[in-house]
Amino acid sequence: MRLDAPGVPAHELYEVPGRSLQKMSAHALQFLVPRRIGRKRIRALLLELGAEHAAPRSSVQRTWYDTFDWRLYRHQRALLGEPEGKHKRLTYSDRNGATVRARTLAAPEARFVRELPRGTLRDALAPLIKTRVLLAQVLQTGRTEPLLLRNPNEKTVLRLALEDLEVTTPGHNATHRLQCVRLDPVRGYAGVLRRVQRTLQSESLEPLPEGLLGHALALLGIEPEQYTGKVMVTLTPDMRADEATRSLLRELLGIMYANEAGVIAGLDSEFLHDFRIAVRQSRTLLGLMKRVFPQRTVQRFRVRLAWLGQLTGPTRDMDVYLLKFPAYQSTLPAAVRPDLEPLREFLQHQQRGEHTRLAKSLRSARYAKLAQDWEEFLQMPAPVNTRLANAARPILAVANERIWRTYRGVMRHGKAISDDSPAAVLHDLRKRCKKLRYLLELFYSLYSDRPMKQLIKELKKLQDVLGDFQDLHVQISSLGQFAAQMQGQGELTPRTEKAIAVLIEALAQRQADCRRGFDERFARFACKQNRQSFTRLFSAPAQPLV
Amino acid sequence: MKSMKVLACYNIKGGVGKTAAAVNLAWLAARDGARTLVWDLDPQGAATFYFRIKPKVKGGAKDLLRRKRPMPDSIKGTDYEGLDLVPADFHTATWTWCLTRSSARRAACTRF
Repeated sequence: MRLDAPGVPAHELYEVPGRSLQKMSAHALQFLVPRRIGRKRIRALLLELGAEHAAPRSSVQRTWYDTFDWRLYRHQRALLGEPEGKHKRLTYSDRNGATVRARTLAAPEARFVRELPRGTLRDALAPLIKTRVLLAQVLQTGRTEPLLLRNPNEKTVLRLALEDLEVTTPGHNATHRLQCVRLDPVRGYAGVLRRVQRTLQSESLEPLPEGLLGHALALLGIEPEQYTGKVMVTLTPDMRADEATRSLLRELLGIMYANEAGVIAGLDSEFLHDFRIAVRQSRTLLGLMKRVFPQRTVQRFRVRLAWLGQLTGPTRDMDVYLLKFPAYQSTLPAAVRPDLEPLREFLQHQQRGEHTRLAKSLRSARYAKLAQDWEEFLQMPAPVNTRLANAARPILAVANERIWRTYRGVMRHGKAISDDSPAAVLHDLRKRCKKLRYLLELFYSLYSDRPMKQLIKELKKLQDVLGDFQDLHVQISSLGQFAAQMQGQGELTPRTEKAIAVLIEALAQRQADCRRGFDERFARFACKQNRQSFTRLFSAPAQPLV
Repeated sequence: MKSMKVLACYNIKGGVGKTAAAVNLAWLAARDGARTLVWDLDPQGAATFYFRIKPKVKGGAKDLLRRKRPMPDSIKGTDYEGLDLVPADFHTATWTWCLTRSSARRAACTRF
C-alpha cells in the first residue's frame, strides 16, 4: 500500500485560508527556549504531553531567499529553501511561516522565476519578484529533533520539532545560536495546537510571532524595509534649499552605493536600473536646482556624472532588449519564433561584453575618485553666508519654482506637437516629462499626499505612451543594426533575417499605434483638473523665477 | 480558478478497489506537487478510515452542499503533505437522493 510511505510534514496548502486556518495561525508557531530552561527539560515536557519521536535527530540547512530589495518580505511573504536530494525544496509561506502557500522542488541553482518549475509557487512569485534574482538572505543550520502527537486513532494531529540552530547571513561573520520549538499544525486539529501553545507559554518559552525569519533578522540586525530603491528623505518646507538638495543627493548616492556590487557582479538587471535612475535623478537635480550650489562645482560634477550615465547606457540597452525578448518572440507567428533564437544569442553575447566593460569602469580609479569627490561635496556643511540667490531660501519656494517651470515646459512642448512632428520632438517631450517626474518624486514630502499621487499617476500614463513610442523608435533602428552586425559576423541565416524583418514590421505598426494614442493621452494630462492641481500646488507667485 | 481534471474509478461490484485506487491516486497527485483534496462522499467512509480521520463533518455534511458552512472549516489535514480530506459523514446516505436530482448535482459540482 503506497500510503505506508514515510510521511512528510503536512501543511495547509490552500491559498485562501479558511476560518479554521486563520484561527490556527493566530498564535506563534515558533517558541524560543531560554538558556536557563534548556532543551532537555522541554523535551521531557513534550514527551509528558504525549509527543513521540517521529524520526532520529538530523541536521537542517535552511536558506531564506528574497530579492535584494526584499520584495517578498515587504509583501508579508517568505521563501524557504532546504536541500532535498539533488534538489532544493522551496516552501513559499507567509512571512512568519504560519500559512504555507505553495511548495516545489527546484534545481539547486535556480535563482530566477524563469528557472523555477511551472506551478503554483512560480505563479505566486512571478508578479512579486518579476525579473529580480533570488538571493540567499538568511542562513540557518543546526540539528532538529522531529516529534509528533497522535490522537487515540493513531492519527497525527500535531508535528513538533526541537531545534538547535545557528543563524547567519552570507557575507556576515556574526553567528547567533538559539534553541527553539517549532509547531507544524495539521489542518483541522486546532484544539491540540492551542493546548500545546498554552503549555509552552506557561513554561516561559518566548513566542516568536514574527516567526524564525523575523527573529533571525532581528538577531542579525537586518532591517529589510530600509532599502527601497527610492528616495525616502522627508524634507521640511523651511529647510534651506542647499541643505535639502544635498540630503536628496546623499540619499541618491546611497542608492548608487547600495547597487554598485550587484551591478559589478551582474546579478540581475534591476541593480543597474536603480543605479542609473539614481545617477539620472542626481544629474536632473544638479541641473535644475540653479543657484543653489556654485556654478563651477555644478558644471564639474554634471560632466562627471554624465560620464557615469553614458557608461551604464550600453549595458542597460542590452538588458532591455533581453527583457523584451519574450515579447518580441510572441509578436511573431509560433512557427517563426525559433528563428529568432540566434538574435537572443547575439544579444546575450553583446550584453556580456558591455557588462564586462561596465564592471571594469566601476572598478576604475576614475570612478572611485568621482564617488569620493561627490561624497565629500555632499557631506560639506552649508555655508552660513552665501551669495548664491537660491541657496539659503526655503526649499519649498525653490521646489515650487522648479516644478512649475518644468511643468510649463512640458505643456508648451506638448501643445506644439502635431501629427507631423518628428520623433525627435516627442523624445524631447519625453525627457522633459522625466525631469518633471523626478522633481515630483524627489520633493514629494513637501506636498500633500493625494494630489501628488494623482499628478504622478497622470504623468506616468503620459510617460508610458512617450516611452513606448521612443523605445520602439530606437528598437526598430537597433534591430536593423543588429541584423547587419550579425550578417558581418556570418551569424545571420535567411530565416533569422526574415524573422527580424517581420519583427521590425510589427514594431513599426505598434509605434504608429502609440503615435496615434499620443494626442488623446496628452489631452488627458492637460485637462482642466490637472492644470488646476499643478497651479494650486506649485505656482506660488511673489518669488521671481530664476 | 484553474480547471480540475476528473478521473473516475467505477465498478458496480463492491470490494474491487475503487476507494483504494482513488485514495492512492490522490496520494500520487499530492506527491507530485498538486494540492489535493479528497472529498469522501461515500456513506461508508472507507477513504476517511484510510487516513484514520473521524468520519464526521462539523455541522453536518448537508450544510456543506447547501453552502451554509464554508468548505475550509470541514477540511482535515492527512498525514501526507499536500493531501487533505473532507471526511465522510454517515448522514451522507441521504445525499444519494440529493445528488441524483440533476440541478442539485450540477450546482454541487460547480460551487467548490
